[in-house]
Amino acid sequence: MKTMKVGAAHVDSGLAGKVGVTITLLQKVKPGGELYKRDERIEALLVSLAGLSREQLIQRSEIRQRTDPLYVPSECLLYLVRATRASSNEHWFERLYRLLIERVLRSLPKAENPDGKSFSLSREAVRDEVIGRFVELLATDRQMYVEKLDYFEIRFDGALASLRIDVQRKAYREENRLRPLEHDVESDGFVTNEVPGLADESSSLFQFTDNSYQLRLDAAIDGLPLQQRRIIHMIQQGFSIDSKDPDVMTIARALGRSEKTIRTHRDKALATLRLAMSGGGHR
Amino acid sequence: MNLNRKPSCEDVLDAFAVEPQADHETLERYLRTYPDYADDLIDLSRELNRRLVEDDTSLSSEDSEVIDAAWKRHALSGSSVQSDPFARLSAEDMRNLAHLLEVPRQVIAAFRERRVIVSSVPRGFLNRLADAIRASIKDFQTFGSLPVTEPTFARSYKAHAKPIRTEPVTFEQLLCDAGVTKERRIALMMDVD
Repeated sequence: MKTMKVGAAHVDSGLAGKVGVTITLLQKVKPGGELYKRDERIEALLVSLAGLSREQLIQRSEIRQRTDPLYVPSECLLYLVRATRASSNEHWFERLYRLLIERVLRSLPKAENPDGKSFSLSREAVRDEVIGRFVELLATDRQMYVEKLDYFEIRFDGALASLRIDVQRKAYREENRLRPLEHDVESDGFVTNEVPGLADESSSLFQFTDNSYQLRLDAAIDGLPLQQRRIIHMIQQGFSIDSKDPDVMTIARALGRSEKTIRTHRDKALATLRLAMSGGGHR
Repeated sequence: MNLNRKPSCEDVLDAFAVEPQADHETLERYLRTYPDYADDLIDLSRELNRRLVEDDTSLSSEDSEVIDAAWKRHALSGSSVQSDPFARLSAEDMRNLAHLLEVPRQVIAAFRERRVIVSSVPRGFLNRLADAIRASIKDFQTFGSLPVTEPTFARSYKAHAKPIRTEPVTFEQLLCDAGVTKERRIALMMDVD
């Protein structure tokens, strides 16, 4: 394996010792056969972090604001935990490991609902399962290289989101073994007529760029039924509901539903969102 | 992902999650290539485009308990590593390891059973082996000084190669015994990294 030697590879028990790690290539292979690579900025930062003392590294890893120039991205934190696994019995490593798990915890949606009084059991279950799987990946990685963790070194937030979606998918499938499928207007033969003008009028919902407005909108979209949420996301991403051109990817084709069903779901979603956002003073 | 089989939904989602751009074009490309996973790809696309919210709150007692439990699990996972870097490797792991290092399985088995003189192993090969099983060279040196173990059940299959010696041998001898071709032996012995 090709390696890039950085710093001294010595190990001592003190916090004053250098981080001193060897930066190795990732082992995960892309579908085309080439190896995945870390972001160049992450690699460059790893080189400079390797020259810090362990105490300095821990202090910097405790910074939570991503905009802070001394912030250590989770991609780097994970790399350092993996690369220093031989020091797992040392106190400084434990602090580093705990900071990494704290980052994961803070990145996952909280089980508490925005009202602060109630909480979602399914969100709590997903959170527990995601943490559990991440911890297992790290534990296994101490003994056998776990390629899945490479994704986290490339794009930590994305890989964590992927893990969460995977857990949610399995939980959803489990839940629905005992429950009828989501109400589908088409299969019931019940199709609501499209409300003229509603889509155009409500598309202004997505025009505001103000951050607090966007966060409220995100929360409102989270509250929609799954199918409506997907349609709204695809609209936000610029997909058309349908097209006469068979080569164009549309929402109807992606979701395997008729144009009419998609429009009905869209109108219901937009009406819900408009109601949710109407108290925000932007309209 | 392996090109010869249909990738799992998890594989596809992971690949999508690390694409440089989580935009319309990327989503469309994945939807076309993996239409069966459309729902999950759209869900993940939404997550990837979500605005980040800085969490400045202090940790709850439940969160602290989760972190404590995670650390205990991690600390426990390393208890056998120091003495035996091959502990907990399954038969499939051993197969994958042999495939990765491009040597017959009995070569890997010989390492596990400490029938190799570690000092005779080219540094490059030892590095690659250590990396693959998440051990250090020091682990190997300690491990290699322990007595030879009996072959495990995983090797109780009928072998076409001739029986393997039970006393520690040099790496080169091990390769000869395992039927590795001369060209490959030379390449492996030159693997000094």
